[in-house]
Amino acid sequence: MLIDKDEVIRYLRIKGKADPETERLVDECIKECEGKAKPRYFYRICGLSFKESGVLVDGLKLPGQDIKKHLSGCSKAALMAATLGIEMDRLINFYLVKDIGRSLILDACATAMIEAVCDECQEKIREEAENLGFNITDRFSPGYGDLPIEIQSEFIRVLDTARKIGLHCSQNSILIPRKSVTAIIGLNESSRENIEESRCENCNLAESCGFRKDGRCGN
Amino acid sequence: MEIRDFLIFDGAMGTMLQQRGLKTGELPEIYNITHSKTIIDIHTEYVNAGSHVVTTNTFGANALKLNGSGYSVQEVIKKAVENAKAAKPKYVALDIGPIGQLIESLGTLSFDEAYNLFAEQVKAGAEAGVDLILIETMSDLYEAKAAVLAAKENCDLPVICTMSFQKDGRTFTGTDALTATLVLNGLGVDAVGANCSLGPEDLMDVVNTMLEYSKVPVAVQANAGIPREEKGRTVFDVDAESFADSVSKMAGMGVKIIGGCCGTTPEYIKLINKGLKNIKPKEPVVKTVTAVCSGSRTHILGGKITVIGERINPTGKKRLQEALRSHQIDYILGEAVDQLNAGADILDVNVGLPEIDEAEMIKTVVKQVQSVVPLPLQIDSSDERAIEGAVRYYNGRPIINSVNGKREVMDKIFPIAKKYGALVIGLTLDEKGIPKTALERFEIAKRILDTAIFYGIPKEDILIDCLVLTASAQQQQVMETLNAIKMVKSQLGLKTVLGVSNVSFGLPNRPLINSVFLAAALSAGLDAPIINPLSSEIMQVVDTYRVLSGEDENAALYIEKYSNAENPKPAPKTTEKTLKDCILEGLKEEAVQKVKALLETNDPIEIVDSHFIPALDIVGGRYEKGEIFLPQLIRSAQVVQSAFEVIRQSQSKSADRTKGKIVLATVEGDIHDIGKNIVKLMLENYGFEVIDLGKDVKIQRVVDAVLTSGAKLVGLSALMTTTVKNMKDTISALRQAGADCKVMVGGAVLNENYAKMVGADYYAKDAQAGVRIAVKFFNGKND
Repeated sequence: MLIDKDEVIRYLRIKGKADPETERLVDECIKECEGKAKPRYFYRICGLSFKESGVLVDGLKLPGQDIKKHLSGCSKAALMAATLGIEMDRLINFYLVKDIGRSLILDACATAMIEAVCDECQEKIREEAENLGFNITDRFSPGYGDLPIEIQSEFIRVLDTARKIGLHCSQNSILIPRKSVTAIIGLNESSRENIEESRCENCNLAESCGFRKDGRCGN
Repeated sequence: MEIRDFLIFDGAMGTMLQQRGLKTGELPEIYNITHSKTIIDIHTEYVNAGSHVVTTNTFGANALKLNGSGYSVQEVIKKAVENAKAAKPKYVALDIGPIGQLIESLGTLSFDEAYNLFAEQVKAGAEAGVDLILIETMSDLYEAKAAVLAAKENCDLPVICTMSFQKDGRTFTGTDALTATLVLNGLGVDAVGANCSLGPEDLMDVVNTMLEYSKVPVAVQANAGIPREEKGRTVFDVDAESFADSVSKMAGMGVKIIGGCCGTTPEYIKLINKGLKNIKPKEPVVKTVTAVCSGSRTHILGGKITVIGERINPTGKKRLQEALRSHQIDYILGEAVDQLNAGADILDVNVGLPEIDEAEMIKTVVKQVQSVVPLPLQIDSSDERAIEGAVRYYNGRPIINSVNGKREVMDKIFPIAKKYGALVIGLTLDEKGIPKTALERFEIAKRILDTAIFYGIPKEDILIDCLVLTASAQQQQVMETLNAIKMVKSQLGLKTVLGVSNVSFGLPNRPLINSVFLAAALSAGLDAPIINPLSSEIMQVVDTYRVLSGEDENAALYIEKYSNAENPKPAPKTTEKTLKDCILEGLKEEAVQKVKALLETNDPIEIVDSHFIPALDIVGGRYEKGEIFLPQLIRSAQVVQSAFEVIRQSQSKSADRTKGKIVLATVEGDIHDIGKNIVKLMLENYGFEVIDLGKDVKIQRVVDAVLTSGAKLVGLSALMTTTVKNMKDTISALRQAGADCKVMVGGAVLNENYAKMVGADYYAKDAQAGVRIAVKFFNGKND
């Protein structure tokens, strides 16, 4: 698993080139992060049915119009969950005590890494989908658009992620370990290649997003 | 629970239910009521296959998971036990799985909440007439502890606890098999073991470790291999025959309690039963060790030097006393991290100060320290209430420091140690004080050991501190201490600890005396000196002794640490750069030296106002203009933080002038606190007094802190859309309580509009903005 250094720099809100000391720290932290993380992911491809109020995927209710739009034309969907493991939370918390700067950089590394883990998982899904004669859509996560983040606990229960990859969810729908992602990927038979929508428009944080305020969202 | 023959459990329930139409997402526990015949049939199949014990279909029957199902815990468990009994097994085990949420500080569920959820299940099960309690598939040792305590405190039934291990030999939360075995044995379970996650062959190493160290029988209920998804179905790769073969192998190794987890069926149990017919249960040879554990690490004493860090003890430490009084837990955590980095193996934790509630404080400190540092802890107190609270909330197997030869003390403390599986240090003093001779001290040690054994505490869990008095007053007794150590070691076979630095009290050049005495004590057989690992003189003795004793093989560690000592790094140039330059460039060491020099001629306040703040203003300005970015801003802030610490160390509390009090908190339910901590760092650098309540802070705690401190400014952070509501509620609660304060808010999901919506007075888009708000706010106040 390789952490994309440019992404780390971007998560640190650095425009252009980082100063040499930050560069050095980022390199160090990438190594530490890759050494400590225990990336795990799990997915299941299942059938789906469209309802008035949303989509039903393997017994999991996904309410909202945005997920309907995302899965339109799809006859199956993959539910996926990925995490870097609790060691990453511990590592970031540890440095928070005496070296908050390092903690911040590690946090950014971990964010870049979980994205990479999700990409890997998505690739696996793509392979399996292609074998079945399907294309796949992009990832869509609870909290995007009008898909409520509150479905998180039901999502991880349906996938049994606590047992499978050690992924839990708090009463406030926070995934724990913190560097974790759940997402839905649609499988469609049409030839159109991944309908790439602007993720910003679907994002609930669009209005307050620091990256957008800076005028550039990576997505 | 004595087990003469194999005890065979059943196989999977979930797998069987899925075969009978249970859909993903459905609660299997509800089937006890809606499909009781199906459940009874499954149980019966297992009984017919040879299961002695049937496990109730109650894995997730806790109030959190059943919430919204329309059924209560009692209803589900009562029916589940009836179903199990209907199959007429020899025994019925109440199945208890994990709650499904992580406990503090990894998660937000409190230890007590977890305990209560488990207790509810245990009571319902006991009432319904189960024969034993099976706590299984635990991946968090802390949660397992809550469950075991709930079981043992709410019924008299045997308790089995098994955890789930991954291929790396650890559970998802990082507990290894040795640690699980020792901690659970300490808590008094009747059997310990492993279940789920892996197939039997993959569990061999874990099982071996458990057999090697467990004094109670070992239970194994493996999966039929690691589950895989195939065409939307979960499949398992280990068939019944090879599963049974592996189980027979385990039985040959000494495993006595056997069953199956995910993917196993009555077919598996039948073959297991058949396989075991020809095998006699084996009594494993168990290693006896003196071991102390955190949640993720075991430290075995003996054959090496164990460094017990003494720094978390307020005696004679003004800065720590101040931190305890003003609840600056971060300072204490810093001491823990420093000692870890300096090579401590165990940390002593003593927070006794006359004016604070020790029992409350030690609980808080133990919880916080164990969440940051993986070292085992030594609970140091003479207050039994404090000791019991600390060991109860401790995740692992602690040392209690201490009892002594006084009957009354032993009668109070030993039952606590027994219940929680703690090791205990016995001081060789009694009603008559500290005896003068080695022989008399030895006799007290012997009495302590005998009493411990009477209380059911194993011999190896007793450590003896032979006590040393200062050489300046009781010179002739110093050697008696060393003689006592030798006697305790050779005649009682106990491990010894010793607080070393007492010896030099009242004498000049204390480190020298301490070092020589430490070397002598180690040579007398001392196992675990209680010392200051940040003292380089002391650690040099430890490092050297490790070479001479052969512990540091080939002197590898010694060479690594000291080979550069002859050519020390050139001292930082202090001449050209000003303090301002150091702050701007992020040069910590140089800045600290500068401040030390400045303190000789300048008032601390002067240093803050004329050096720190102007430099920070420049850095802040550059950041706002986009000339530098967050990592550099923080680096400069950390330089000032270190420099500030020099000032704090140098002056007493009375000389401290604050520019205003600010309460900071990450709101209830939210655990993202890097941003809040950056704000805290920067506000403190500007001379504000920050009362940091931490993360996931209950609304009432914020209100109480604001009212009692009289803080006029409150900073709240939230990073999730789901916790912004708690931010709003916290602000309303402050207003309702009539708190005379303004509130600033920040966090990724917020903006000006949301800030208004939640009722905040100010929105801080980043830490720098937070500083600006605070400076403006308090300047306005002062005008």
